[in-house]
Amino acid sequence: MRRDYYATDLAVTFFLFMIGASEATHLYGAFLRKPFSMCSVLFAVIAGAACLFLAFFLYLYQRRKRKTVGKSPIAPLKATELVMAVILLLLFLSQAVYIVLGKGVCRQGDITIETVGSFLQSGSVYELNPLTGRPYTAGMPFRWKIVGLPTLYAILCHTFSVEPVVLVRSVIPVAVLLFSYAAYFCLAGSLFPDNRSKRLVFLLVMALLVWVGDYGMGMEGYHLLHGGWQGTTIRNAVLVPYTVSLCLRRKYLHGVLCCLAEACLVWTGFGLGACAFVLTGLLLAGPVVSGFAGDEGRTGGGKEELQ
Amino acid sequence: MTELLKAALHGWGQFISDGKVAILLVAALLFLRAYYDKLKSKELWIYSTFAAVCCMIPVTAAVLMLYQTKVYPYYWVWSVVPMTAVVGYAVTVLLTEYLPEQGPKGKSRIVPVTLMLLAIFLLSGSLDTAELANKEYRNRKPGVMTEQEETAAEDTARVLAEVKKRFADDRIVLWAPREIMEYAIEYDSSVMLLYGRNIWDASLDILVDDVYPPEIYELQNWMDRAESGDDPKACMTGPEVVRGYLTVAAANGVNCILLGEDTEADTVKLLENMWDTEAERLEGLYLFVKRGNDNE
Repeated sequence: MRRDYYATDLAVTFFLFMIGASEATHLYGAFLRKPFSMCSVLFAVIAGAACLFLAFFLYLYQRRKRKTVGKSPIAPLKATELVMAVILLLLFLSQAVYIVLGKGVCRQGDITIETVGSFLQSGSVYELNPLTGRPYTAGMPFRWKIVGLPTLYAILCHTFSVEPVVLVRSVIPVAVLLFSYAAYFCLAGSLFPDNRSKRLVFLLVMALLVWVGDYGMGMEGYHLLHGGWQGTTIRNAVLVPYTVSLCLRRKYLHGVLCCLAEACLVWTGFGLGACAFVLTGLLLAGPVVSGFAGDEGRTGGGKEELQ
Repeated sequence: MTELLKAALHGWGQFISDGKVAILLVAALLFLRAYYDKLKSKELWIYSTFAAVCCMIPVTAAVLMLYQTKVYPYYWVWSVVPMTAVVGYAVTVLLTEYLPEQGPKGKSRIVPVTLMLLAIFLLSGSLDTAELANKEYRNRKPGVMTEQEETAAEDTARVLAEVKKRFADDRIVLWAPREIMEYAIEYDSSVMLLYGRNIWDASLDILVDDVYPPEIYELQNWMDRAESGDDPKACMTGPEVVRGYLTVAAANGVNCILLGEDTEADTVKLLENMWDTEAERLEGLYLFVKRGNDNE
């Protein structure tokens, strides 16, 4: 099985780094009681450093790949692949339009917009009770105070002068949908590394399941289409599939990044985290497969098809 | 633990009652088991089967709920099962590996099988056209804002924009009917509220430690009843009681009150006298603005 990285790996890893940068900024603002303007500067510095690191990593990776594999040209799309790619694009666009139209938003148990608004209003992190806009009288539980997602949204609102309701309800869910597709693209690459048609079929099924799963809570489609800004949605639709994709490529250390990102998004909401559970499960499943069928069994043993 | 077990016991039935993606997952796992020897990603099948079985059996599901710190409902335990990935994997293997391997007969079945799968997908979830044609469908989706609520949110944004014009640089401390209070702070974070929406939605209480004193609940009750018109006599409990409520509101910094258009003339008059102001009609509401108060 090929263990290459794809361009979409870069996109999802960039997203993970941004989550990490926002968490660092959030902790700085919330526990050292620093003004929000300083938090924005700190975020820009950390995010910039993360981008540089990623660019440097990409450069090293490409250089090593060229030395070992050489430059491999991308084969042109076949007619059926082109049709599938167009349908995939249409499915994605239909979902993005549905989200932007903002019909059927799920706000039950969620105060993200109010929290982002309170950060921007007070110029600080968690100084105002987001539900009333007044200063806290008793504070808030520690387990929620350390979740850094609202800080990321507030920084984006502050930087691009966007209203919280627009950013949180329309922009972020579309971005999360895009990252979800990117994560599933990586997963498709892990499952069918040498066959683009199979990857496209897999992605089409995934895109269809987003619409199909729109019926109820706990389904990826429902959360992507009705609450894409929530940490639990990012976990289920981006982090978990990406963790699976990394584990199938035996990139377990990279998978730990997903576990850390989840900790920044939902923290104690799922014990040690769903990603950690998936990572451990797939790590243990490897020896089980090898135990039954030897190492050949683990990779299917069959000849990998060429593109 | 008993409660968790009960939740896990009923959870599975509930989980598959609305849509059938979980059933698709079971079918996908069974198909992949039949094709196991030729699978290239056996770990995915082993792990997903293990995780799915854990979610279905009440005891292990309860343990998973314990792992997710007991805060969240049953359906969140399914976060550890890569459902979309497994269904997608099975369908792709079926259409691109299993059927072509059956020779020309298998290949000729690819199109009908694809169409059949599409039909199954459509019937498995919310793409069921009979459901979509039903106008009330969206209003039955759990947790999703109804059209009525969306209209209330849009009205709130419009009302607040008008109210703000009366306040110049002062911060507004608002007390209004529920449909305004619910959305006010979302659309304008500079507004302060007498109470937030956790007063109606107890699930939000885990997000803040602040609690409201009993008199705030009395005010909320009065406003909600006055607004709904359920019990007009009960909400007009005499000028002295109403005066008491308004005094408590003012003591909590309220400088802007909105009352429903059904509010009795006596109450409107009383408030006008107390605040030395004149009620304005705004989008079917009475607006009272207190001048020269000391805001928070």
